[in-house]
Amino acid sequence: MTHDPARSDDSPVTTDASSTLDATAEATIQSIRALSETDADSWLEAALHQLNALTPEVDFEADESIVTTLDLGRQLFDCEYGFVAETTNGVHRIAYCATPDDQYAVGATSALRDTPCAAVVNARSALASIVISDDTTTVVDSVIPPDSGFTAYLGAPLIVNYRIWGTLSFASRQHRAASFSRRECELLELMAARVAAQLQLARANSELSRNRDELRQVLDNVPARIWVKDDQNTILHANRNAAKSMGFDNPMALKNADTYALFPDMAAKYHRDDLEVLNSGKPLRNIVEPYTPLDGEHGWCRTDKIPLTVDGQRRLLVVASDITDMKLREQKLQQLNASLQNFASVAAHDLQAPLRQARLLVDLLANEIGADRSDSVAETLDTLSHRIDSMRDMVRSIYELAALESQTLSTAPVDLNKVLADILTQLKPSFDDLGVQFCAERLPTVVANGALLADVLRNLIENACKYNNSETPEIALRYERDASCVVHRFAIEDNGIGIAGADRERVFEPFRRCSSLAVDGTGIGLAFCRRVIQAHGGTIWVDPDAGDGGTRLIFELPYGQTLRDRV
Amino acid sequence: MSTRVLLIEDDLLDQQFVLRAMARSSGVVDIKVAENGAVSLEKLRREPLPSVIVRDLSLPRMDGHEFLLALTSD
Repeated sequence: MTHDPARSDDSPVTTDASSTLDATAEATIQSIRALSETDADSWLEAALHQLNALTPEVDFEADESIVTTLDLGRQLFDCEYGFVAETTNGVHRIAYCATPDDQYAVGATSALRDTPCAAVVNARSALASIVISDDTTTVVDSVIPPDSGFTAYLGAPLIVNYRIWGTLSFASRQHRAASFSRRECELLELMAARVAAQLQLARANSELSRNRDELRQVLDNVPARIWVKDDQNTILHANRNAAKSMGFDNPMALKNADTYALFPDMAAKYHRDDLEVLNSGKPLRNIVEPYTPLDGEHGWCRTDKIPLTVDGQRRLLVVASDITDMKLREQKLQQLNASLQNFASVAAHDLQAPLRQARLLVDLLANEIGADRSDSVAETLDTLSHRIDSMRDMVRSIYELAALESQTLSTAPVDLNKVLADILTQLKPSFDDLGVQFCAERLPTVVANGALLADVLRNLIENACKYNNSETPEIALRYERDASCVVHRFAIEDNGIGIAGADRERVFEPFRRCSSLAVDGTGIGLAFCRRVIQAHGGTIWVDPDAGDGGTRLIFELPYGQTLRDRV
Repeated sequence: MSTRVLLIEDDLLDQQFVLRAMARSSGVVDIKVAENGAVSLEKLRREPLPSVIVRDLSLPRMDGHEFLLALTSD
């Protein structure tokens, strides 16, 4: 309270026009006031009755209720001023007031110790105090600061959440004949309890509304589309993104909307899924399905459906993300893959045909020229044939690589010892030419595609032979089962030129030739090997720890692909 | 009596290769050429049956497989 000692005492008492009480209430209050002090119980009863009539105990319009209480108090206690003030941290701040003038306003602050409310806060109970006549010197123990201009004061603490939050007080500048009665103090305490309850409710309300607002903002700003539905396919709530996706600006417009009307194509499916989730009590996640709202943009979404129980009612939380872009990219990728495979088969046929013809033409030409050709012509024809053959091999390899991508692997038990024996028979002439020394350990029987695995082994052994300029090329095929019995490990070792560190991954790229050695080949061998091994669920790599001089290529096949008792 | 041969091949160069190879054979060969399966079916219906049919697989209009199906069902 701010204080105005200059104020005169002859101001009107209860004539302010701003009272919130209507004429009937005023009349009732007059009759209560007429009850004599001797009839104190009746007075309190009538006053309480009026308090109840004017301010309901649970009232969501707390502000209005509190002002009404102040008006009632002013009348009953015969005071011109009524205040609800917050008194925390030593500051007196007016939160509500009912006054005959504009001397006090909501929000006005002063030091708590300069106000009569300080004594109420200290005492933690209702206090009444008056100044007898104008002779302030006769007052003993008055709580009213002399310069406040007040001559009567009645205040009670407001306990909110078990702590003194502030005070409810009434004050007058009129001299009273007698002090406030015990009944008046009791009534004040009851009023204070009610105001405190209303303040608490108002706080809870504003917290609730803040939380609701915050939740709404969160829900409206997440990229997901969110719905809460019942078991009848009815939408109870939707967030902004969900509403937008269905052609609505305002999510509130979807309250109690029927999914059957909004998604004519998909509603039945949605409802089936809803009921599955609600009946099983288990969420359904990652449902990928078309999204075809009547008024929104069509596409694809990925949806999670989670069962909820709200107030004993079955509810469903539906969270969907738009995956239309991803789906379109996927479709495009599938088309690209299909056309790539088509390209590979076209390449196989259409590129091989002219090469075959060119090769035949060279043969015909050689025949027609006959035996008396010059050395240079003979050499040119040889080179031409050779180049065309290389080209045909490359085209065929590309085709095989592409075909490998698209085919499903057919597997059967394969005895790798037999496979190796066949390969060695084929390679025997070149081994004999080069003086290759080959040794192999006993190999297992594995479940695999025998033809492809044979190609891998042949490729690796041929490479070990080709990229080798040792006097006596040595090649070894080693085999071991790893300690944890998860994979079978094969290693092909040679004493050849080796593979530089930087090239150990690059050699597996198609057409990547990393050697300076002039060697025949399509440049696709190791890429092919890697695809085959990967298709079997295995891995292949160049061992970085092979040491100087030579290469160790390791490939592993999962143990599950093998027949263990045949090894 | 010459051996009748029907060659079904759309590529002119490949036709030439086969004709050249046939020309080198010791026997007398009567070669008819058709550029696709449909034309050769027509020929087969009108003319005496050949002893040998040499056919490409990838052909316009009616490919080698379709030709074989049509031939066996005729």
